[in-house]
Formats: sequence, C-alpha cells, structure tokens
Amino acid sequence: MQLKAMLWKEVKDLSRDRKTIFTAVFLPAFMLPLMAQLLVIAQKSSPVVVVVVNLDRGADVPAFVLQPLPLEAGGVQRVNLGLQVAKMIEESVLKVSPTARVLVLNSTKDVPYYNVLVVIPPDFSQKLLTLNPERFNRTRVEVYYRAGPGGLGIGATTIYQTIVTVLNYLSTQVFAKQRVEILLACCEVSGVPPEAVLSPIEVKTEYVSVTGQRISAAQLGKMLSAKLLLFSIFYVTVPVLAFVSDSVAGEKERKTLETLLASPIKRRNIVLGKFGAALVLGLIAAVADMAGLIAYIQIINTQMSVAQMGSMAFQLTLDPWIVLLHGLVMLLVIAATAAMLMPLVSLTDSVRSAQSVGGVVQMIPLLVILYAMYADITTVPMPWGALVYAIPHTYAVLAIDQALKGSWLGVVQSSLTMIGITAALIWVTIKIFESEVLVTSAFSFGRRRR
Amino acid sequence: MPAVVVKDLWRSFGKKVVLRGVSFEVEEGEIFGLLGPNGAGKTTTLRIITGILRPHKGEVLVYGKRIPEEAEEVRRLTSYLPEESDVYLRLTGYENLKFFAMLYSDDPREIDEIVRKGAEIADIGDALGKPTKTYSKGMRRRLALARTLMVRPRLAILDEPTSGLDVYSSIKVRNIIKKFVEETKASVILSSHNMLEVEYLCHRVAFIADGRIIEVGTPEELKSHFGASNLEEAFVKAVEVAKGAA
Repeated sequence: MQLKAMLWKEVKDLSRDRKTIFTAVFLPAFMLPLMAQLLVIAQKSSPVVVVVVNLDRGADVPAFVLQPLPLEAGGVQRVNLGLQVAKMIEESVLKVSPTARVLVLNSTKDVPYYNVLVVIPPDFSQKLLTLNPERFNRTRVEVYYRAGPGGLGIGATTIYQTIVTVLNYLSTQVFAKQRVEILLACCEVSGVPPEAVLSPIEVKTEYVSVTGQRISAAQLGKMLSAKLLLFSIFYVTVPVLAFVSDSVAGEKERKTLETLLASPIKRRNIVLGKFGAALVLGLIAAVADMAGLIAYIQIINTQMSVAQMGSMAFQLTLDPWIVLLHGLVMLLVIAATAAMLMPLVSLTDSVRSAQSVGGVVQMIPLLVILYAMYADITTVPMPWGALVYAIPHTYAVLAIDQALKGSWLGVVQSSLTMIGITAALIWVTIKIFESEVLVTSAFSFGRRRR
Repeated sequence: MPAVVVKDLWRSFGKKVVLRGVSFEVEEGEIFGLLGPNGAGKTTTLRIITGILRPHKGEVLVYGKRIPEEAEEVRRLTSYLPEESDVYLRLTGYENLKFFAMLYSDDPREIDEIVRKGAEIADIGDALGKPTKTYSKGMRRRLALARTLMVRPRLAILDEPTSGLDVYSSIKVRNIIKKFVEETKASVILSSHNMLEVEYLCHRVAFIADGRIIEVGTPEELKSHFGASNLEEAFVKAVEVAKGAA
C-alpha cells in the first residue's frame, strides 16, 4: 500500500508537470521529424550548383574513324567531345540529385557561384581524337570542389564523386579502351579483351553482414539506420533528468522529504515509487520516440534525393522490428539513466546541483555512442573496456548490434545486463535513502546542513 | 512512563560538535518546548528523535522504544513537521492529505476519516480542492500542520511551526496545536526561538544553547528562577549563567 501510495503521488505530480510531459513527448516525437524537414528545406532552398565550362574547340574527324562516342554517320564531321561529356555529367548529376542545378558555359568569364566546377580544356577533342598509335596525347579536365558551408554538404560531396566517376569511366572504359584496341590491332594481337590490358586486376565489391552473408545496399541502410537511432538516447533522457532532479532533490529543497522519512513508509518504497514514476515518463518518451522515428524515416526517404543522403547504402529503412526494439531499448535506457541519476542526485541538496550532476551523467552515453559509430564496442581495449562495460548505455548499443546479427539471445542478454545494472543502482539509492547521508548531504556540492 | 526520554545525546558533523550531552524528558499529554537560538542544536535533536539522524552517543526512547534500533515502530507513533517544510505544490490540498493518510493506513474508510480530520484541522474551505501552488504561505503551513496532526500521533514533533508566518497565521497555527493536544492528550515537542509562542503553548520548556540543555522548567518557574519578566529575558540570563559556569 505504501508503494502504491508513493507511486500514486509521484504519477499525479508528474501528470501535472506540464513542462516535463511536454519535453518527454515533444523532443522525441517532433525533434527528429523537424530535423528531417529542415534537411529537406535545406536541400530545396540551397540546391547544389554544378558549373561545367566547356572550352573545347572540337576537332574534324572523318566518319570512318572509330568513334569513342556515338556520332552521326557520314563524311568529315566537326566533333566536340566536350559538349557530349558536359551532357553526360548533367544527366548523371540530375539522376542522383534532381534538385541540383547544372549550368554549361563555354567561357570562364562570369562563372556564377558553384559547389562543383568542371573545366574541359580547349584541346579536349583534338587530343582525344588523335588516334595515331605513335603519338597518343593526354588531356586534363579540372574539377573543383568548393569547401565551405555549402560545399561540405553530403549532397555536394556525392555529386562531386559522381562527376569524378563519370570522367574516370570515360577515361578508362571508353577512350583508353579504344586506344588499347588500336594498339592491339597494330601488334596483330587478337582474342585479347582490352580490359585485360587496362585493368588486369578485377575488383569485385559486395556488402556482407556481420555473419558473412551477402546483403543488399538496402540492408546495409537498415544497419546504419539502427546505429543512427542511438542518438535518440540524448533527447529521450532529457525529461528524466528534469523529473528525477525535481523528484529527489526538489523534495529535499522543499523539505517534504524529511516528513516522508519520519513517516512509516519504508525507504525502499520511496525510491521504488519515484523510480516507477520515472518509468512511466520513460514509457511516454519511448512511445513518442518511436512515432518520431517513423516520421523521420518517412520524411527522409520520401522527400530527399539519394544524393542528399549520400548514396543508396545510406537510405534509412523503416523496419518494424528495429523500431519496436528501439522503443524497448530506449525504455531501458531511460530506466538506466534514472537509476544512474538517483544515487547521485540523492547526495545533492538542491535542484540546481542535481541538474548539474544530471548534465554530466547525460554526457556519458555520448562516449559510448561515438565509439559505437566508429568501431565495434566489443573491441574497446582494457582498462577503457571495464569503464565502458560499467555504463548501462553500452548494453543498449550491444542489444541493437545483436539484433542486427540476428542473435535474439544476445538481445535478451544485453537487455538483462542493462536491467541488472539498473537494479544495482536502485539498490545503491535505497541504501543511500536508508542512511542519514541523504539528509546531511555529506557529499553534495552545496553546504552541509544541520 | 514518559513519552520521550533523551539521555546524554551527542552528535557532531565532521569536526563540529553540535550536541554535547543533551538530556530531557517529555511527559504524556505535555507540550514540551525546545527553546534556543539558530544553531543551538534544536533541529538536530528533533531529527534524532524522529530517527532521521543517528546519535553518536546517548539514548533516545519514545514510548519505551529505542532509537535508532526501533525507529520503524517509533515512526508509527510519531509525526514530524520539519522547519519550513512545504507541501506538494502540484497536488491539491486534498491530495496532499490523502497521500500522507495512505502512508499510515491501508483501510480506505480509515484513510477517508484521516483526510476528513486533516481538512478540519487545516480549515481552508473550498481551497482544499485546488492545487497548493495557489495557496498563501499561511495556508500551506496550516495544511502541512494538518498533515502532521491528522494521523493522531502519540508524539508530534514540530520544528518552528510558525516560522515565516504573519501574526494572524501564527495565531491560527498555535490554536490548532493547542486544540490538538486538548483533544488527543498526545505529547508535542515544539522547537522555536519565538519566546511568546513557547510561553503561550508549552507546559514545560528546555533552554538549549551551544548543544547543551542549560535549563528546564515551566515558563513560570524559569521566569521566577532568573527573576525575569518574560521568557526572553530568562533565556538571556540562563545563557549568561551557563557561560559563567563553563
């Protein structure tokens, strides 16, 4: 009954704490979709600008000459390969980013602001179409990538890479191949594919899962999405920090805690009641977080081009199991965060001190998430490993990793470990509540009270 | 059997000794005043009696039950109003009373009865259904006092119950305490540095200064003993005598 009374009081109090409830719902449910919408707006309001300056003067080529690029049949033609390359660049860029702007100019004067600039030289056609096997020439196309607020975006980078890929393809697969064929013909060599001369090493690339199975770019996207979702840990724990600070330190500050401590209620019921209310708040935040994630992924996938996201491999995937697992893990994360905060906050003597301590606690998951973004968390060397494994949020990362490996037993193990650490921290809080340190605040940042 | 026996109580915080052998007894049905300046050791003494703090030396018995060993049993007999203790501001007055009633009873009918008693003590009318953040300081203090007394403790421990209140609110609070003792025959330990309040309410008074009880008696006895016209004067003289003796 005492626990029920405590929970009743805490939930009632929480339900009227509009700011905390608003934060618990607003941050997860609206922040992610807002971020996605902002990305979309950014993409549309400041599209990537590609300027192709074609200085190519062209060259006269007899029709019988083997053409590297398809030309109209008949007589001697004035060929401008630069124009054709510019057209190919434009098509490729618009394919990966329909919102990009591609301008083709024939002079370097009055070049507008660009993110990527391509300069095709005057002798481009002349040098490429000189097919004398004793005097092949090289030509140089310059590609400029503007660094800065606009140029460093994922979209501009992808477009820049696309252009370089197109030029490399033309160089190695079209023009080089043509020259090799000419050289092979001169040597009277037959049956040798030009590719065997051009690139004797064939490179085959595949994405494979952690278990070694071949996976598609979409599946890779799902894995990256799951990792990306870990950033939710930051904002879902914000309202818990506010709630726990007020619930524990606030009671001390208002001196209602002493009345409670002098009443017949068992100290553990005070702690469990407060923790229970934090779980209720966590549940609200976790559900809001799942809704926010669904909205985020939908907005990104439906309104943003592939270029803006980087590549197909970075496309987010709305997998119901991942979203559900994410919600569950976030609930456990919130519970663990509350459990981490409670013993520390119990030792402070004001809400302000408690929030300062909470701010530090909230930064701890950042270390784990950053590491997890770059490397496998299980590879952290000792003694750092011991530290990392003492942080309950580590098991949130591990649970999601295990789910991606398809190891549901691993998910359960990680979740249980997180629950175990949470329980241990709650036990520590109960011990603090059972000792007079709670009142004397011997380890608090504030002055010691009598 | 005395309601409370405090024997040779010592307590320190770090190197600072706050209580230096405090001893006194409180009889059943008695309002016992603990009178002293800020930092004299009043709150620490009360916190030890409630079991919130542990004594470093000495003995505390509440209705024969030892603190801290039998603190849980003692908490069922006592109720504590800490100095400047507030109420839960997001709850209504009624919910504040109900929450504390639920800590003392499992029986819904008994809980209703306790709350009814609390509402009667607080005497704040329709405001009881409104969030306490809309209350004046005096109303909040009366609600806190009602929360303490409604459970009919055998020993009520009240730390500066009128601290920070205006004259009218203070008078109301004193009347509530007096009426409570008359009706229930419970004991009250009341800490204060308001001499007028102590003189009006307390059957007996202990002067406490620098962690020591320097004099105990009825207000009349103390005034007569020090040849003083009021308790304030008696207290000052008692402190001077104690300093001289030390």
